[in-house]
Amino acid sequence: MTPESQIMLDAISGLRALVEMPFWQRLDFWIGSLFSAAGVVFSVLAFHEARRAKTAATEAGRTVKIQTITIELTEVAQRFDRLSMDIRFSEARDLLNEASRRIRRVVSPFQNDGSLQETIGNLKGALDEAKKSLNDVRPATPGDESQTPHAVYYAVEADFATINGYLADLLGLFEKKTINFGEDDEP
Amino acid sequence: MSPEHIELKTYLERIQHLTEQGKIDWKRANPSTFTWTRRDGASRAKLTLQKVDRTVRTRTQAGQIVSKTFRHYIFQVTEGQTAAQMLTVNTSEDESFGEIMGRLFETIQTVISRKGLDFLKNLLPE
Repeated sequence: MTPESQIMLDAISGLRALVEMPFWQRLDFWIGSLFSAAGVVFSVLAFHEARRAKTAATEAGRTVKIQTITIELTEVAQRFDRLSMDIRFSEARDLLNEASRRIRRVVSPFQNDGSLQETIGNLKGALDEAKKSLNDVRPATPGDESQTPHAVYYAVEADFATINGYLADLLGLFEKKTINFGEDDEP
Repeated sequence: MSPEHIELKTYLERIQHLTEQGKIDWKRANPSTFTWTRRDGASRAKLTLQKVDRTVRTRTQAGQIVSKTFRHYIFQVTEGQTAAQMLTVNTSEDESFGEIMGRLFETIQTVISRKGLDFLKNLLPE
């Protein structure tokens, strides 16, 4: 056997030994696998972290929005609280129209929310009833208004008190949504 | 029932009777309020009767939401010169006047409707 043939046989033997060895018994396979697994784990962790950050940002935005709504509804309630006995028809009509518009705009995104649905329905019903009561004291002629002292107040006072009651209920429910009650918290 | 209660009921019945006789000229100030202004020389006084309906939404035991309407009346006597309230009766605070005020309101409504119909009748050529 020539020396060249011997070198060729040695090289083939080495190559054969390398090919016959299972891949899982090789160190480079385990090093590569380890890095791949670490990559997957870090990707999953990063995904969960991003999702939690998104949820926290959404919750924060929701809390700010609910606080804005709470402020708006409180302003409306305070205007109803300061109802004067000498209120005239036109003043009561303007007050009710403005309050109705503001309340309906604020509550409309929540009207299908299970925990708020009933109170919102009651509130809208009370606004409609107040409108009817106010129509019952619409002066026959503009001069007639001064002929009926306190008629407008007597007509709408109870309805405005009912609206304020439902507004207070709604404010409580909105505030509850921004508070974490711990183990007693509803999902 | 206090003597003032009984006296006031007597006056209200008298007002109803005088209204039926057409001796009190009530005016409709708005759909739910009637007024009568009494002029006696320089002095003036005004009677006001107002009907107020209040609807409340309540939940029944079966869980249904129902609306219930409560009716009450407000009777006021105002002194003309100063517009001072001389007397106010609100049947939401004192239900004992509810029935008589309801009758008075109905009587006024009937008399005013009758007057309107008579006016219309007189407008038409024979």
